[in-house]
Amino acid sequence: MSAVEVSQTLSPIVYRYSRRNLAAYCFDVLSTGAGLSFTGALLTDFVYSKSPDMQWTNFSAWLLFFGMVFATAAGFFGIISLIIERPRRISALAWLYVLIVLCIYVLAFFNNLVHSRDAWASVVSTGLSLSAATFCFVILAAIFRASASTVYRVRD
Amino acid sequence: MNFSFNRLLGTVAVSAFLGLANVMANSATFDKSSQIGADPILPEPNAYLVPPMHVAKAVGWKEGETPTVPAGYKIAAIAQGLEHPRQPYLLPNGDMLVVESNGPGLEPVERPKDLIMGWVQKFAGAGAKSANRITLLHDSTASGTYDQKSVFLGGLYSPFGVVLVGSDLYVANTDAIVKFHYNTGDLKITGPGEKLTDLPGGPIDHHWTKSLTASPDGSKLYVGVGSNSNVMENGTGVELDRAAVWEVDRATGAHRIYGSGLRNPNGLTFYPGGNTLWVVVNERDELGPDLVPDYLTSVKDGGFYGWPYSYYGQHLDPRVNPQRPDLVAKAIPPDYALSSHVAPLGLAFNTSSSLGEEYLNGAFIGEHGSWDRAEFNGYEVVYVPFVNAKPTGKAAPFVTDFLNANGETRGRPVGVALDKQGALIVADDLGNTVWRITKQ
Repeated sequence: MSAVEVSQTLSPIVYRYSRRNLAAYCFDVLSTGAGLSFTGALLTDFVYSKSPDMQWTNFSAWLLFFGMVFATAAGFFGIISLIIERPRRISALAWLYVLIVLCIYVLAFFNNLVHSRDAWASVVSTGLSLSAATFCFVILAAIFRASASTVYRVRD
Repeated sequence: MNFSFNRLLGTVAVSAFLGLANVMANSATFDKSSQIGADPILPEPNAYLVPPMHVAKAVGWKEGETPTVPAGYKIAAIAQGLEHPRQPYLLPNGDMLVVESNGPGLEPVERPKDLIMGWVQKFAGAGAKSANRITLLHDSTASGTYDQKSVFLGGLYSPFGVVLVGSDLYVANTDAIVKFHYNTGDLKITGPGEKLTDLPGGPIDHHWTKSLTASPDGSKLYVGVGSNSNVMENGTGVELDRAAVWEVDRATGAHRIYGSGLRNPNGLTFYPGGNTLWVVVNERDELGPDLVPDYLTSVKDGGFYGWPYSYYGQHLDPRVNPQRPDLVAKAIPPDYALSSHVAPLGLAFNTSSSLGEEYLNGAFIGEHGSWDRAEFNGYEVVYVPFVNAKPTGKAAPFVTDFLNANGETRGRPVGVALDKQGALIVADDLGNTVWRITKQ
């Protein structure tokens, strides 16, 4: 992965999106928001596990909740984008990316439920583990997203 | 590609929900009666993804409908159209006070979960505004018909407990005990109130009902102060002096903690002729449909009863951290289990034989009813027999069928009392009715 690709991954805004496919842009922004929210939830979970002040679990619960909102909206724009692009062939790498994103969504869904439990049990240890697993998949997704052309064949 | 990704995602989400629904539906055939009495059977605690929740739809009483009482007894509505009547209290001349109240509505949304819980509360008819008043039912013919109804005292703040000592009438608002002057026969309080002591109200004020009674010699007041959370999920700070029974000195207003670890103590009552204080306690949620049993217990001076660290003695609650082994080691198991999630809110001891010898010396308990188990529990008034001032044998339903055949709730019993004729009085805060039960 080149430095350029890494920077493209971290800042989807620098991407040049085709004018007729704003949906792809929306997908990128929203999925980045979801990834950041889930990463934040890992951090606040970790802090709570070290310093049991309930406010940290409230932060986690909201980060996971809005992460799901972003992820769901991203999925919606992903479909729109796909309808616009109508790709002829989907690469194996692209499928892998889809699988990873799917894992994030499912993990985060269950993590939301676990975080709705009360007090210590909402985080330690299931909640924290799920947050950590979600984070690993977020990193994986970011790496695969770096080879963006394999996922979105962005037209000029 | 994204299209199939989302379809797959949808499939996974749907099957996850179905799986959860299955878990929720398998409310095993647990014998509820094994949790009534001194040694309840306690199943292993659960950790849920979606805790069971089953809220009865509120429909109210239709014309002519009443709760059911055993054969040989009669039930009649003595007051209707009230606003959330919670607590009946009998004055020495036979007049009855009825506290009309609801929570102060101070609970902030702390988590996404709170949004859902707020909606559930509304569905159950528990979200209404508080009338903040006490109504007087005057029995001009001393026959138990209570033919006159008038406002006795308004401008209160989520009141619940009332107790009269001499000519001092104490009202427990959710945030303070206030004293009013009362002369026998007064139909209305006209003088101003005087605050005896503050009580823990907001912030949050999760369990807001402050039950109140006086010591037999009249020198002390006892007030139940419920916890500010289910199991300390709102932090330790907001639990200061909560989940406890306070003893308040009538002369000075000074208080000390009389009993603690009592999650939501209500129905504070001294056993007639003795110095033993009894309470009914609402135990914690989300450990399972059959955990933790609510209970009736005598409160020992300085006794600790577990909340939030442990339940029913030394059974540790895994959701609490840091734990307090020092406190758990001295946690007292309660005297008498009432079975899980029945939500007991009212307690009255019967010392007259007007209802028959079989209902003499024991306790009537108003069970508001469950919301967090698949099969409803509570929604009735039960009788717990006492022998030698101790609960003995099995609690038996006395006033039933607050739920109709469709599982909709017509009423929910709260406070109970016995009137001058020895009839049982039940406040029904959903049916907005006060019921009176007599022997035929």
